[in-house]
Amino acid sequence: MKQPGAAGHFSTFRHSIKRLAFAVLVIGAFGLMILGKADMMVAERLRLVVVDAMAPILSVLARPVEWLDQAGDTAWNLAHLREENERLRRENATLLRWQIVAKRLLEENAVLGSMLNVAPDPDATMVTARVIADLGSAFGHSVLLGAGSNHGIRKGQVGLVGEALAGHIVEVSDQASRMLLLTDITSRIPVVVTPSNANAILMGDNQHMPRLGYLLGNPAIAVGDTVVTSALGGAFPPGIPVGKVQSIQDGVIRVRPFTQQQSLDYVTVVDYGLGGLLSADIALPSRPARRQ
Amino acid sequence: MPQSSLWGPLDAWLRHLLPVGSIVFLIILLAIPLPMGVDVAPMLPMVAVYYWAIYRPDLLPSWVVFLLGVLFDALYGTPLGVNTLIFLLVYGVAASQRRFFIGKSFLVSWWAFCLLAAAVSLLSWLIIVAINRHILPFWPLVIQYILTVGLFPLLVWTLAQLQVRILKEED
Repeated sequence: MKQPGAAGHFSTFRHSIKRLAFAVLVIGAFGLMILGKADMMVAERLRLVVVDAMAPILSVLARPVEWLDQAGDTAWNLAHLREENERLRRENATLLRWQIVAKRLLEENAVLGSMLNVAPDPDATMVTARVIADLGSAFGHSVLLGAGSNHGIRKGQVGLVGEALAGHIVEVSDQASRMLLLTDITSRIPVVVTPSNANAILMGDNQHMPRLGYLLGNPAIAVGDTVVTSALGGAFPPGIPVGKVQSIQDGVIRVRPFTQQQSLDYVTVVDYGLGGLLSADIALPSRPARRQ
Repeated sequence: MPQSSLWGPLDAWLRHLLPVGSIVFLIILLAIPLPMGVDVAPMLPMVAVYYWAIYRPDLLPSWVVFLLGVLFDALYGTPLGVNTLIFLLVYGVAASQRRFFIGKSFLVSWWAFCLLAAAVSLLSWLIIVAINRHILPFWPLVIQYILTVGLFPLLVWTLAQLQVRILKEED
């Protein structure tokens, strides 16, 4: 020691206290990891406290970006008014033809349904929520929505953009909720590939295009096939559009989701009264226990 | 500018919040949904932890770094403790080597950050793989790393400007 005397000793003492504190904190970080693995409920509650505290701030900060985005949209719309009008006119003509078809099918369906005594699907309730935080990192893809249990959002509900699947709700606090995107490494969604009707699991791996796993047999799947949700496992209602098969390489089939993370600004959270993922979540903690 | 004695302590206290405030700001900034955003956010909070650990560790105690890491993990949905550990390691290495860094050129600290960030990124990858029991693709991490070290000069310059304007008077 360069400094002899009480002051020097005090400084060495303070230095060792600092080192000790640092070591304790590093151990604490490992402790948190173990806690997150061992007791998911406690870890989740801790997360929710933070998310709830941050939600109002994020919500305010997301607003100017949204305004800018809307201003950009308005400018684009004004510039393309003519073409857009023409496009809508054509689309309207097509849709009117479809409306006739749909009406006929609806009537036919009602008749057939009454003949077979089909129980009607439960009505789905929906909440539209704004994306207040986009939490992409190398280790996960999720977004925070500015609506939580106070607005009727529950764990396991399905998040849609337009008609297409964007993800599902994994955490809900009073004011906000976290939606896990299809591309997240932990996202597993039972799907059906049409027209081959092959069942598969859409597995996220933190890349733009999730891949299809657990395909049974050797179904004829081609690029451009449509992927929709499957009711297998009871987590999702069947038939929600998910994406299109983008590439098949060395047995790895990748799907381009209809919803892209960058384009998320509002998400419709739908309750189909299934709660299937909730039961999957309850089953999760048993997994490590089984391995021990 | 010199202020009255009543305002003084509060003013100094607010100024001393700069290191913590800048890191919290960056954590929130990266979460704001942008229409053209990339889906891998650069680890700018890590750059700020590194910067303040070298220049003003007295205003950024290790327990605060711990809490900032917990905030990051809880908000971003990464397994709790992972970025907490990463922030602490960056802080620990930078703060213990600060005598070496102070007075050295900017390129030296950039180069050191590149090495340190590579090491902790690899470590975080290994930890996440161990937690998920699932191999993760490597390239999102590489993109995140390149974005982080690429934005390092701009962020460090900004933090240095802030330090000069807000903290310099009492250095």
